[in-house]
Amino acid sequence: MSTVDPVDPVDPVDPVDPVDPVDDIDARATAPRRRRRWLSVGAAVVAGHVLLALFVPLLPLQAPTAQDATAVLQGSSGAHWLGTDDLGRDVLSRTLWGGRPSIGIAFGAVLLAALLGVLIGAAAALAGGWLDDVLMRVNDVLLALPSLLVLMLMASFVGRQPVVLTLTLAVMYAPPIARLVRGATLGVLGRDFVVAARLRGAGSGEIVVREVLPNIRGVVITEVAMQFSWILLAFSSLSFLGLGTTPPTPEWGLMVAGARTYITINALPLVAPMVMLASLVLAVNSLIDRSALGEPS
Amino acid sequence: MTGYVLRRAALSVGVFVVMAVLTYLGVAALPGDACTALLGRFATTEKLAQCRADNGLDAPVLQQLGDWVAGLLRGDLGYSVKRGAPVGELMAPRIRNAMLLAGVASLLAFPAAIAVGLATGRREQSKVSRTVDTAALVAMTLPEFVTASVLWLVLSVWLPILPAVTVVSSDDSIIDLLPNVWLPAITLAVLVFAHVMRSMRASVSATSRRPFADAARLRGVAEATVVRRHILPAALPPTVNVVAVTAAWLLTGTFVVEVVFNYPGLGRLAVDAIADRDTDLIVALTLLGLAVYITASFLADAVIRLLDPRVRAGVGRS
Amino acid sequence: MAAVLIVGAALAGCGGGDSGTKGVLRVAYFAASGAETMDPYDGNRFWPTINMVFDRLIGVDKDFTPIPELATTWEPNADLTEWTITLRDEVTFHDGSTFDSADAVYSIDRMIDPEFDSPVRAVLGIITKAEAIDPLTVKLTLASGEADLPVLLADYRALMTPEGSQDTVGTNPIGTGPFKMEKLDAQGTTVLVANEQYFFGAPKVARIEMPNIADAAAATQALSAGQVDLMLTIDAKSEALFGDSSKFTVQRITSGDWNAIDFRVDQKPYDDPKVRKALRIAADRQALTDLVLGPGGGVPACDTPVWSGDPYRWDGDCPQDIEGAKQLLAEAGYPDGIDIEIFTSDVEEHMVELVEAYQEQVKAAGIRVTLTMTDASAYWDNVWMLEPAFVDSWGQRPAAQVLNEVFRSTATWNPTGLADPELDAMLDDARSTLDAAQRTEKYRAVQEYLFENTASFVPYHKTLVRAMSANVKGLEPVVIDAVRWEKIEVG
Repeated sequence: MSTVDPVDPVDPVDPVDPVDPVDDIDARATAPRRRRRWLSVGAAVVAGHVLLALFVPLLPLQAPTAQDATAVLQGSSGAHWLGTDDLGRDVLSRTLWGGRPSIGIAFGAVLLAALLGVLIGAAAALAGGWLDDVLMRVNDVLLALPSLLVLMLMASFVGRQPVVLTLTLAVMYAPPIARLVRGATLGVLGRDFVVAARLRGAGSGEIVVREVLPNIRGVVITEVAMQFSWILLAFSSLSFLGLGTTPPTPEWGLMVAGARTYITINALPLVAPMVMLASLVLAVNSLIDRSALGEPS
Repeated sequence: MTGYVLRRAALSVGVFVVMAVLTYLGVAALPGDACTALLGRFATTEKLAQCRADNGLDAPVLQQLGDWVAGLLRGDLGYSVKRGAPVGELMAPRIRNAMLLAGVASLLAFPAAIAVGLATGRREQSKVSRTVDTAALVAMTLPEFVTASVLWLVLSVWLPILPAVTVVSSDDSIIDLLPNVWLPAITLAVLVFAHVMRSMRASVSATSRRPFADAARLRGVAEATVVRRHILPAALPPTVNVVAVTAAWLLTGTFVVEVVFNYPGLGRLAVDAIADRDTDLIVALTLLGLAVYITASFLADAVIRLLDPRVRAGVGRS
Repeated sequence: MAAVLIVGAALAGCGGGDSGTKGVLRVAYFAASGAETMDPYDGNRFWPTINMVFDRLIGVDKDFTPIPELATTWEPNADLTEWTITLRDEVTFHDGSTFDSADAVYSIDRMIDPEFDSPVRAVLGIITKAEAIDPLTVKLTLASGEADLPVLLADYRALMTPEGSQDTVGTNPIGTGPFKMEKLDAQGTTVLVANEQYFFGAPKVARIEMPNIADAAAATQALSAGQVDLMLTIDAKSEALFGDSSKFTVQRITSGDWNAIDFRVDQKPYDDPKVRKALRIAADRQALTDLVLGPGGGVPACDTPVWSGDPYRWDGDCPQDIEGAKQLLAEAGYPDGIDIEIFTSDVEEHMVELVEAYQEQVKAAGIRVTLTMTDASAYWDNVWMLEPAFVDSWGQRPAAQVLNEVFRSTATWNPTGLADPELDAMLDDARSTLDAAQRTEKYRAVQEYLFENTASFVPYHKTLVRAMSANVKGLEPVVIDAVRWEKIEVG
């Protein structure tokens, strides 16, 4: 404290309000209704996707795997509202069914990844010293491990069940979260209210829960939502490599990868699942952004 | 300081060893080996046995790994059974091509992403800011080959100013390769820009609200200085992490873009090597990837320490 | 930065959007491995370049009738076990040396060498001895009579290489063909230059450049953008992309490439011929062909590997028969239908779609198919010929070759393990029959027999679709092996 710190002058406001520092009085006053509207749109879309995934078997749709040799790559028509794909299957039906595998696996993977990431990152930041280094190197190993190799090993030994894919994806996507959590935690740990808390005699656990987590919440949740987007995107790359969902299961990533050769002939089999993917990702991110900013949800 | 660097170096060596062993064992555990990949579908048992004997593949796995490490200490990265060439010779032009691609994509994406992230983060609620954010999010959900197809249509077919796919050899000169870099680099830059910009935006937005920024403004500090000396250094650290991971990914993880544009980079080489069970090549590439991540990691940490002296001082740790 | 962009664009202007400089043919191809060699007898031969650099003794015309290439006449003895071949005079290799019987004998010896074990040996292994009678005459002795030896010698790999070239031909190929190898780079761009002394006439292009483009969609883009002039095969469903006939020419070539779903007869339930037949007749082959290959993308087949352009082809009638299939299954002890698992992979085109389409079609007969995906790099070693049911993929072969190479009980690559001495006897009989009409009858009888008993479901032969820019002329709509490269011109 004896050296002058030009970057961050002593801040008298912090100790008064340690739990909710991201308090923007002005913003709350100027645009409350607009933000709540976005929030409810986001929530509605996410809820819509989840409900669809759960209840699509009850909808009066054509069978998603039924083929029609006479109606291949056709555009929108009375019989097929979104046209047909390259095996004559109804695109509408496949699109509505397609979220089940994607959403289940992606949500599971990203939640696990977040858990792993927070554990590793926070532990590294708190511990410091050699444990920090070891944990971060383990993190680097996980990040640099050729995911293709891991996926192929999993596939050849355990098979291609969704659980295996979920676990593998979680391990693959935890490292960036861990790095971010560590960085953000370090940033918080240096702040005065944490120093004050330590002086008060608070233990590490209490510091993590009461001081660190609430303050890193915003950035971390944004990153988790980002990783969720990457994971959904990854399904089409996995299918590109032949390691994704097994055909003929309707799944957005598989549909997108399969339709790529025929984009310029008929783009609907590609656009429909992409719109679903995009809407879900947008909705999740909008939901997360709002709640991360401390708004009532 | 020297203690820190030494410790980090020792740890890194340990990590390399673990990685090499894991990779070697992993490839050995996969069905098939380099000889089945080389001889292909109609390989007879005798031919396979002959091939394995010729290439030392009939030795136990750990012995093969040991031989490879011994070679590595002599500066020899091993031999690719499938391609019939030393690993170093195969990797050198690809590394150069990957750096070219990553470099161009980085130049296109990172400065712009940080600048736009800063601008939109400070005016977080404005329509422009939110639209840019949403557009970036949409851009992120587009699979690479969709972005690629759009770019190709616009820049190779309608206005033919760029080559659609790479048709030069991997070891041709940079001049020959340069026209082919643009489409894949732009495709990658779109994704990278979206990711980094959103991270920066969220971070700046969170930092701008902190009372110390207002306190500085109230003291009469000029807005530009507030941004430069107060907001930016506090907001950059999380984004630095994102930049590091993304930059590392640009060098090694761009398989889809490379296939779609036929660009001879490291991503494709790595995937092909795994398909060919070319163990020496796979290990060399994996260790390269690890080195890239470790370096990026190290540089990111160094930059963060520079930016935030409190981290440097270790204040707040038990 | 702007300067770099401008320089880059300027350099790109030379390559991008260019419709092909006069005298250079740019052919997009896909290198399956990284180990391409120019040794035509090696398993990793660099196709189709070997046919630009080397020639065969005997070629085939559009109707697959043998025609002279490096050989001018061929005469069998009475029981078809000895053939005397006269070679063309005054043919030179690219290095100036003369082609003579010593080269021919050397080449054939390499093809049939059991130690080297070339894939060509499966075709020409019936030759036991090759000897040079004089510089322009070669005598071949066969293990048994084979009326179709000329057709077998027309195999696209039965190429003539110089005497003693075993160690050098892989990287430094010297042949008699229309093009000389200038730069061999299988993973990048390979360059060949015209051989002005070619005995069929100097080529009409100065150079052939062959960039390796690993992804079919990327190659399609390259052709659309004018970066290449020719794509040897495109997906039939992508034909619409090249509909502008002022810029592109599309050819449809009936060919003999085929896929199959093989059932191993040493595994239950496929040991029962009734089950096997039920599995095969439950499919609607025409619909399957249209779905998997695209409308007009193939010619349906009734489980015969012999393709529609082959003189020995049997055109049976095999409509979808759901009731018949159910009946056979019930008789075999499966009144409630049967559950089977078919292994496939995207290692080659259409293999996954075939199972997807088949799966849907046979549901009505109570056949419940589980599709199991395997990784492409492990397919041929770990799944093919090992799992109970799997997808197969073969290139075009003449009847005599394919029936013996794949369906004979002693064939090394008999994927189903079906050992049927009666079939073998029919094959032996057919191949040694001198009279052409009788021989044809016998080969047709073999195919009918297959339809009743085989363990391979062969639904179609593929119609290849080839796309090229409109300024490529002289390329006949024939399969690649029959293409006369010297007749192609650009511009």
